[in-house]
Amino acid sequence: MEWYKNRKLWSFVGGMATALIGAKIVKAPKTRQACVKGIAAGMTFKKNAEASIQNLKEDAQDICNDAREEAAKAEDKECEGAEA
Amino acid sequence: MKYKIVYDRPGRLRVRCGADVFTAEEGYGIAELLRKNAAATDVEVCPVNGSILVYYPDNNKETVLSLLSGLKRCSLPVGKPTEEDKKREIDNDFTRKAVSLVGGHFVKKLLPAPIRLVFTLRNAIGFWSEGIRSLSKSRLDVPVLDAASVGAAFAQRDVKTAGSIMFLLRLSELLEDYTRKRTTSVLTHSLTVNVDSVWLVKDGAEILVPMSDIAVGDVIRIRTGALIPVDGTVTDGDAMVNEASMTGEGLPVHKKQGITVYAGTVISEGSIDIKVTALPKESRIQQIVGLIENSENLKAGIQSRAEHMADSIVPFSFIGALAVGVFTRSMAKALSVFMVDYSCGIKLSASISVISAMREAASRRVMVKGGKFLEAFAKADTIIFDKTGTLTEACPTVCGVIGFYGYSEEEIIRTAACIEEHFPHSMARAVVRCAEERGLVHEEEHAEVEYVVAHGVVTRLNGERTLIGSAHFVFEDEKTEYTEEQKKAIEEAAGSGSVLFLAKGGKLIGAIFINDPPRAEAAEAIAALRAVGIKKVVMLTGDSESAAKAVCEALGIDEYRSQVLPAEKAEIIESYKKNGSSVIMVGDGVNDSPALAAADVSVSMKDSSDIAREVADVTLLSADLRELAAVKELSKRLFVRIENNYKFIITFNTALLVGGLVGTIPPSSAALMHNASTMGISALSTRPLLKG
Repeated sequence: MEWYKNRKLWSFVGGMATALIGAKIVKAPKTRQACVKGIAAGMTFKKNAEASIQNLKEDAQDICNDAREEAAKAEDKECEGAEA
Repeated sequence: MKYKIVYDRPGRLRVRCGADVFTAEEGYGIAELLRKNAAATDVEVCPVNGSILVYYPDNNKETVLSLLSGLKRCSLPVGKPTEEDKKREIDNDFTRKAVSLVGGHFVKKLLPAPIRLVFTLRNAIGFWSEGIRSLSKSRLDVPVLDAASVGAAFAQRDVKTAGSIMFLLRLSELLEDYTRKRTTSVLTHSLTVNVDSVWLVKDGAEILVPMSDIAVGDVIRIRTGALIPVDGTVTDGDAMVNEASMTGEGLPVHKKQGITVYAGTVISEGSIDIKVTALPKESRIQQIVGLIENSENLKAGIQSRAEHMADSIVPFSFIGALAVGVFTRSMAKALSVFMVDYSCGIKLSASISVISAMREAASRRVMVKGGKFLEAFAKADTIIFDKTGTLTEACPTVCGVIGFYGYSEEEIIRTAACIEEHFPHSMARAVVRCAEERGLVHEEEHAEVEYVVAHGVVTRLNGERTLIGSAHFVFEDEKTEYTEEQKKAIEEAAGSGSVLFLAKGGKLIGAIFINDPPRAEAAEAIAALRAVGIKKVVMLTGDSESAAKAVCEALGIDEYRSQVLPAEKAEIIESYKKNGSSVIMVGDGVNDSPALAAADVSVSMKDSSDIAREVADVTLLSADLRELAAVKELSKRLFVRIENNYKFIITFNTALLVGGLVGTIPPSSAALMHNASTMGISALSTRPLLKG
């Protein structure tokens, strides 16, 4: 059989190449930089997400506060109308 | 500091400075500054998004804004959180985590399948490592079952079900954690060591100084019944100290010269001088709260039993799944048995219900030191009250004075106040207050004062032995002489009030009459207690028969005993317990601590002596006796809720199991419904038990 048609052989060679090249890539300074940047981006994303959730909660509280004040004003007007 | 105004209405202003512009401590410092300098009525800060919400009085908006503009990021003030700040942080933290969890779960559905798999696997690793940790300790418990359920879902290549199971489990955990944190926060605040003033020993004399003036190296004198507010070394004296707040051990420890004492412990007998080595710290409070949270002894029996039962059922889930697999040869049916179990629901619902009930009691200003005491409260059928300071006002007043042998009323009051000022009993405080009102200055002429619990006080005044106390102490114990005319005069003047007898050199020289009216709400409280299931109401007092009878008739009490000594109070409680009653004891003084320890559950009032609050299982911070009935009702409803939860969990999960076995419900649906029901039961268990 022609050796270059042997899938198992190519898989073996591919695995060896991946291991050798992969090890070099993992140890390379650029890889490390990319990981640091990636994790930093992830942490920033998480922080921004938490801040956004907090903003949403506070905006909802402010809206509720406005609604309460409007309701109180409407009640006062009704009472004044009733007294008049 | 730069900021953006995001909300501006009269009296309410919100600005945002950006995420992480200030730390949590700097936020509290900004809040303190605004309260102090801009007269802000309330300030809420959040370092996560740099938000500052200020409630300010009219026309102060410019002051608030100029203060904020004047702040420099590099030199922000630092402060401490208030109780409201801590509660808000716990709420904000829970909201953020819950929204992240729920949002994350639904956003993941939009991701491509391979990426979804990676995230789901990453989450599963957490559960699997918990399960492996339990297995490595030879424990087959709920974390193992959770890990196995997740693993079983992955084994069926059902990544969606695995993700949903983990989502529901994490949500239940979050809910339990949040409920526990809120309860801890409320308990911590109430257990804070709180001593306003102490006796500083300087050049042989005692001076009453505020606690804030005490420094390390000072020597302070602490007597019977008082809380030790500092860490220190005993330099003089001898005392028995109750260290239950530190060690959980009820037996007092002997402390003498050279031995260390700790803040938060209480002197049950004796008097010591302490050289201060450390002032009160936060860590002491954490110790007390830790004891409440973790002590198996303090957990409700039903909660401990639930946790043990839940863990013991787990092996049967594995055996059941294996048996079903072998007999039916169906992997799906075996997995459905696996993924539906009773353990999580039973454990979580009991734990959350008890913690939530303790938090609800705390919100009504009733501090319960453990779930065990709620259980005892629910079962109790007899309540025994101390009289003075418990059923009666904490503020008795002097309503009359008689002097004999030529002593005037002023001299009697002055002498009595001189002796009584060191002691925390409400009668002593009444005498001291009377002296202050009459402008009678008492010089510290005596050498050493002894205090004999509940009986009275002995001292030496101008070389003569001087006593003040009850009739039993002065006449029977100390054999003081008195004439028939004196006895008649006192009986005529006393009426239904209490009497303090003053003797000098072995002779009775005067008597002080103290009016001790019942609390306004006492009669209503007793009626309310009967309505919630208390069958017998009893009063024990060291006071006279006439005073005791008058109070009982006014309040409708079933039984009473007068002129009772502290040890006798404890014996009376034991006798009720032997007759099959379950007893609540309510007391406030140093002399009540043996009785409080003897009862099934003990309650102290807000103005109690330190030792009563230390020994008691429950403290009424609102000093309102009507809350006793509310706590009894709360406890009864708690256990009804736990029973109902158990019934639901067993019925629902059995139905899911049977459905899975016969093939009606696929395993994935059964798992989802099981976990959803667990989460639902946990959420519903946090509902208030009482309305209003």
